[in-house]
Amino acid sequence: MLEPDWMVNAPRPITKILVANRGEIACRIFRSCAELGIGSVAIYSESDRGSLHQQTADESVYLPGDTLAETYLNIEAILSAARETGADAIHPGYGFLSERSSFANAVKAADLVWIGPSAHAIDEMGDKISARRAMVEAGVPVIPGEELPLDEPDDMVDELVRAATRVGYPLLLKASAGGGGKGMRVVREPRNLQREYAAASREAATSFGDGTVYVERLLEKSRHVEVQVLCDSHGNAVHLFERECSIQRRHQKVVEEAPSPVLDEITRTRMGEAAVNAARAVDYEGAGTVEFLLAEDGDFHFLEMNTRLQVEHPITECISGTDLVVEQIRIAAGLPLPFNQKDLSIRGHAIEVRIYAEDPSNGFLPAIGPLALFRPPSGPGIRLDTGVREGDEARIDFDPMLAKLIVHAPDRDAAIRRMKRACEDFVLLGVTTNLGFLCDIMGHPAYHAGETTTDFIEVNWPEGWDTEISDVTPFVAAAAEQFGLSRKATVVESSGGRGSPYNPFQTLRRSFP
Amino acid sequence: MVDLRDSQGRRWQISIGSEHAICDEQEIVNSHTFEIDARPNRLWIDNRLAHVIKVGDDWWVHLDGAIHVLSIDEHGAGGGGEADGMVAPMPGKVLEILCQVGDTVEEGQTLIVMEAMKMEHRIAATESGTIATIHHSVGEQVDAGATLIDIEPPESVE
Amino acid sequence: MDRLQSRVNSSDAAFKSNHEHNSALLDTLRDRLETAQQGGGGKYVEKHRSRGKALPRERIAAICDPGTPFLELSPLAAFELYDGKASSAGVVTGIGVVHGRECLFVANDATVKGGSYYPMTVKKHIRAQEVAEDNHLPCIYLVDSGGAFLPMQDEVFPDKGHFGRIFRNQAMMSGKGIPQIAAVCGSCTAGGAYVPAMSDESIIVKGNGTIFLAGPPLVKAATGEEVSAEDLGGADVHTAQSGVADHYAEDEPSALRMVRNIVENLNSASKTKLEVHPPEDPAYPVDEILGIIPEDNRTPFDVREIIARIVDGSRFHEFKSRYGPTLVCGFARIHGYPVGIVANNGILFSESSLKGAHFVELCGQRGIPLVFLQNITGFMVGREYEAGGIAKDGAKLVTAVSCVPVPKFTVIIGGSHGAGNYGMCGRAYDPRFLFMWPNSRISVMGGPQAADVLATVKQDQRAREGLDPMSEDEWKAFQAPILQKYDVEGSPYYSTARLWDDGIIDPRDTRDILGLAISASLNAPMPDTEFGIFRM
Repeated sequence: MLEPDWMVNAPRPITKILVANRGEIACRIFRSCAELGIGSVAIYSESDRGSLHQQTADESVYLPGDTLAETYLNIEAILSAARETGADAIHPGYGFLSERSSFANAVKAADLVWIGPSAHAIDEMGDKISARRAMVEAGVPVIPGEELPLDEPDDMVDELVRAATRVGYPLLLKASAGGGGKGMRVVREPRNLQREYAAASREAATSFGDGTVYVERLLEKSRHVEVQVLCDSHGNAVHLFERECSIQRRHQKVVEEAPSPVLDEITRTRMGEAAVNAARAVDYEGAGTVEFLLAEDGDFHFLEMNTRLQVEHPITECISGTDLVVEQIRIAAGLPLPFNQKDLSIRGHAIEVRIYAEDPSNGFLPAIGPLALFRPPSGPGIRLDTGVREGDEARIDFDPMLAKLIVHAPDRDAAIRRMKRACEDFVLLGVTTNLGFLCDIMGHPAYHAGETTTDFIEVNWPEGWDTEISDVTPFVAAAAEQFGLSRKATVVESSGGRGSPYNPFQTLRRSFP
Repeated sequence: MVDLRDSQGRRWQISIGSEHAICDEQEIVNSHTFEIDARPNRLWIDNRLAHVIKVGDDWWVHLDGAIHVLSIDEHGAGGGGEADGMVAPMPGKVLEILCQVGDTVEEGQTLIVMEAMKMEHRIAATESGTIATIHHSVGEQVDAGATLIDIEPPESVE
Repeated sequence: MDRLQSRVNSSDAAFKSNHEHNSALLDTLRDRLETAQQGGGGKYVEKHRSRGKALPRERIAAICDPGTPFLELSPLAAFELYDGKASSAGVVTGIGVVHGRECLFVANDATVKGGSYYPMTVKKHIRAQEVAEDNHLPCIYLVDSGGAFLPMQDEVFPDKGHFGRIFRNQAMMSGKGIPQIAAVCGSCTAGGAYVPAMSDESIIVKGNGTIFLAGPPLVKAATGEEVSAEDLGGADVHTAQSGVADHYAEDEPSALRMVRNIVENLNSASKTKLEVHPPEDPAYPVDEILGIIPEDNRTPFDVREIIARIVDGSRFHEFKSRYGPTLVCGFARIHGYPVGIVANNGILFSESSLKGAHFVELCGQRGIPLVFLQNITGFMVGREYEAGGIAKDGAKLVTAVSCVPVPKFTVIIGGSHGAGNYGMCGRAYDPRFLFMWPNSRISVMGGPQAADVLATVKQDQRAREGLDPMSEDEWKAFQAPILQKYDVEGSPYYSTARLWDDGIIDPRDTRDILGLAISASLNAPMPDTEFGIFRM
């Protein structure tokens, strides 16, 4: 394979990347590899045999085993897959091993290029307490809060009450090691404190193996605003503006947009600088995201830094005109950033929605089923990042996210209209999804007004969301049944006028016995 | 006639080609026009395009930007013959008696195991109630049609 | 058509233990099939390959349309016979598709004793020809055999069903317009020479293929002439001089390609038309069959649960459900083809026999193929039933089954005993195909019954002779060898080894295999019935 010309003088040239991940993010990284002329290697477990990500990569390596620990979390097996295929770099994607410093170290120890920040930066930012300390030192504003020491369990209750009083109610109990909403508890009144602490600590212990809990002030009506940063190994650092990811369900993001509908230029600049400072404080290298909580009064506080590529990175790519995966690869290869801060500007508005196999009318519980018909929308400014296609199956083994639908338009209103149309045009039948719910969010006046707080769903659908069936739909189903549209469309060709077009000698694909 | 049900339990009876349709036992008018598309999974209703696919007994319909699922209700066929009552289906030997007089039993509960023609036959309670009489004992030979057990239905509460 | 309602509870303890039991039976089946597929195995296979020859299943796969199914018949023929050395009886037979046409293959396995014909090899070859003749399937013979297995010549040479029948069948089938095609991939000596010679069109492979009535050693012994095999009966001789073969193949792959070319030019024959509907998978998981089949054959189960996992959409139009309920009859579809299903749900009584006869006639009248799901200990016995004329009612069922002109398919899903086997279209009633499930048993009566009968007879004899009756221990000792014999001989493997069936199948494949079998059967025309339906 021809080396890409920009790689020729790279200190750490990369020719083939193994992606230690699956699903849409693996597919997305493979696309950038293909454009760069870099080879790609997938790893896959038994249940991902024949999946889109396995088939998209140039090569793929099977990891045996039934558990994640044996497959996508198996550092040894991943490194040997890299050796076996001659990959010289590893991209961890998001989730799985992406924020494990031990993996970053193991990759480097195996003499491979790690496409991500240093183990030190991962560790420093991975622990909420050390991250907070580092931010305070770097002058980045943080939320009032305290860590609870665990060494003296007898004094815990008193200590907890004192800390809670100092922080102030309402407050949030969080697992120090946590994320994704696990081990998180809201306490509005002092009398619930002890009970919620016990629950949070228990959840944290089971989910993360570390029961340390952190108390912080709950900033209600607040917004999640995060800033994308890129730092190279030559000391250059830029931010690529913010994303707002306030609409959440079960503490997971559903709708993200860039730029934020409420940020003014001054705050944007301040927040961008704060994010770059935060990254510099831990000698960050690569792509990262600094999350802030934006209070109603315009103050913002450092929440955490995600030391990886984010799920919602495409909206930043849209408005900044960059390819973050390409930049990650260039940085890992030791090349300097091709732009500086003043080269960057915001173009238009982008929205991303996450399409989940779940039932929004039933507490967003995950749904399973076949993607019997999967016809994504198309048109200018529409992008779909997915790891599935028609005929695949939504299963319970992994995250229920099926796809990310991204639109880009000149302004926010146009983007919302485009997203609504795209959601409506998306024909995804066979498994229950949140598409109808997403359409309703896009049509909601509160969303148009930019009232995208973290409690958006609870506030606007206090009774839960449900859909009203149109009067016409039953007629469509009845007609489809009566016209025999259930017959399998796959066997159209007839065997030369001889006998049944459904002859099992033509339709079956295996031999007997 | 197609019987349909949605996830909220609403029911329709629709026959395409007929003007009458029934929704939750209320008569409604079927005034729609339909056309099948040359491509599979597509159907035109009143000149609007619908995408449809059947998964199991469910029709998934995408119409006007919304997705809905309607289940075809099929009243099951005969399935098993009618219960013969608690009589011996053929001459044979009582192998096991699984209840005692005075026991409260549920409909469908196995009460007696018989053997005839080297096959085991399980005699199940035809109704819930209390065992009033057991006519035979283990090892006894019984004739076809012999009543094996009597059940007294539970007394109704006045 | 209405859908059967299933009452199966897959979390039930009995279901789970049945599933485990039947899965274990399937493991055994798979192991035995794998062993059989290795043919002669080891050095024989290596030697075979070193000559540029492929194994018979590979040859067949090369001829069949890519990606289409091959339905192998009796892969476990000769199982545990001939010291267990004759895997698949040394010949692979089955149905595959070539240029869209369903063809019957007979492929010798030269890795098994040089492809020579054991008694079961002859039987399997002739059974395959019978399948071809009944279903009007073109025959493709992939010849690689040294001829009869001489040490057993008395069991393969002289009788009606022996070696000679193969060639007579070729002539008769050719006469009926059923194409006979041979590719000579190896030796074809003595009687074997007639396979290509009797074919309509034949191919011979350069170097490997030879056809002669007597090989070089015999020629030398008889006339003193010294000649090489290739000069005596090689590809060049037969295609250029003798005209015994028609096509000269440079190597085996080109010979196999030529077979495809020959089939391509057979000119199409139309199949019997049935009203076919788009197929629909059963509404219930097919795998549940393994939890439904009871561990103990004596435990009854509702056969509709099996039907619901075989037929399209689990839809079943039951006939006379309230009359003679121990025999379930009804209409359904398999892979879109209409079928009439006759399935045991207990002992056969007079009523069930009459109902069966009525239903079989109905299918004959309508030209609907019949599927028998056999699980039968026999017809009801006893004074009342004899007096009720069960013998004549059973005879009506046997008559209807014998005479009905539609294709019949039998699957033994449980016991197959006594006259029940006859009424339910056993091997003697010419079902187009007969398959067995791994849990099935086949014998004139159940082992314990046979032991009881023989012990009772013995006891009576002792009484007549004035001897003391057998003690309980003696009784048991007398019965033990009988039980043992029935246990061995009742096994489906004992049956399949002797070609009493067309193979033991995974119960979960029943639907697909029946679909293939029905499709194959439609190549033959269906005669009309000229009687009206006798209501019984």
